Amino acid sequence: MFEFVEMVFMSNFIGFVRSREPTFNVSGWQAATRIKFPSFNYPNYLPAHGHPAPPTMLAAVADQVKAFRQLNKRQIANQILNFVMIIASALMIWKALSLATNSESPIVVLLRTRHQNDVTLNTARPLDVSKAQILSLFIIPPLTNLQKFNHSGSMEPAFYRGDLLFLNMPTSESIKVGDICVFKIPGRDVPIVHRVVKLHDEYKTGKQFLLTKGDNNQVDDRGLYNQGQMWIHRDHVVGKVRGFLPYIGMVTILMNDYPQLKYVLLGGLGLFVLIHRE
Amino acid sequence: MSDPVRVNRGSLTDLKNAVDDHLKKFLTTNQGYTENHLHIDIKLFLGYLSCLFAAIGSWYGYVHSFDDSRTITAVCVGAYFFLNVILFLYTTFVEKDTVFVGVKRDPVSKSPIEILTISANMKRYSHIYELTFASERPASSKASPSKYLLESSFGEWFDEDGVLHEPELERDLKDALEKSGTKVHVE
Repeated sequence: MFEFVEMVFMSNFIGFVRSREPTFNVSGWQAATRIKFPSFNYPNYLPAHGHPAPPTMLAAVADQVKAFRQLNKRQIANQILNFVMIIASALMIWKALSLATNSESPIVVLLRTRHQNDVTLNTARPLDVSKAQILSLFIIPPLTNLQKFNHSGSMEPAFYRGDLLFLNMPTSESIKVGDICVFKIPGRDVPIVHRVVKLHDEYKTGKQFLLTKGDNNQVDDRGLYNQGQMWIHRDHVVGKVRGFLPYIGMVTILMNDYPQLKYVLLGGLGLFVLIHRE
Repeated sequence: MSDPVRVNRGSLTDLKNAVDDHLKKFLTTNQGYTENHLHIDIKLFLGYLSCLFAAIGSWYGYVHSFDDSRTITAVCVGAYFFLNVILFLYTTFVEKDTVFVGVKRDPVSKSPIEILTISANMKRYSHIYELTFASERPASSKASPSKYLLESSFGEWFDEDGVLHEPELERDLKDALEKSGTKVHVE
């Protein structure tokens, strides 16, 4: 961004040498016109035209690539370190956030609608379900490791497809009726985001038995649970939804639907960081 | 060098890097200095060590469940940020704006005759480049190094195509070396 301003300013100052000495290929011209010119101590590589080359993007990139080839081992190691540090910083910030919120995946994205005749259900009715997919994208922000969910509209009008949800899982608080929880049913890798509607606490141990239901669904989630399972427990819960940002998750949805876009972006960014100095 | 160094003359970063690179080459090959790589070696070491902690923490968290990997992840995250803070402090307070540190050794006894430290200063959107040559002789009794400030526009060394003119740059460097108290080796 600032480089544009720099270029405008700097181009006025660089070029003093040009006005004092010629920069064309003297020996070639000498031979062509057979006029004796005094020999300047000038190398032959200077351009044979009278005006400077326009600063095109391609020329700038070519210059940077050529400069990159002339780096010594330490400088190349430094460039690689810059690239690796970006990835490492993103990962560590994600892990720090995950530890701070005490949740395996502190930020999630609602993904896609799906109607399903689930064979494990006791009923044969097609059930609107809110399902989730885990996507491990260990790449730089904003493409960090976001868990993604198949959103059905089962939590509308609260959450829509493409919303970013922020989770945490405080150890001191217990789960209450009305909390929106993200939970994983054992045996399935797909998290679900629904609201807790019923709660039973075992008196002696304090273990919580939860029943969940999507806001926009007609029935509770007992049809989604495993065969014979009536309740879920606190250890199935990944986190409670604390806040959300609408539409931001569309980026991750695009990355999921077009994986080539992900690789192109990451490759381009990586190449840029490796070549560009300072 | 047969290949001319051409940079984007609109980019101050490229100009500075070209001048610094040629400065190092000139001083090590022409003037008999041996470059001291301490600053960049320490920065590389700290950087790669912090990335190693990051890699270990991420891998462990990926393989094991969240609850099991909590302590190791916390240790690795803490180590990563701690090492990065150390790296930042080193760059800001120890290295500052040093560009080159070179040692001229006595060819017989291998003891250092002179330690040359060059630091660079550049203001935003300004074509003036300030190089401070600080020459320190361990043998002499003087406590502080003798300094010389070379203040020059990039336009003295680069032409309109952005090609670096080495004779001009080397002339200015030799001049600065002389004025900072070094005996300049003429090729």
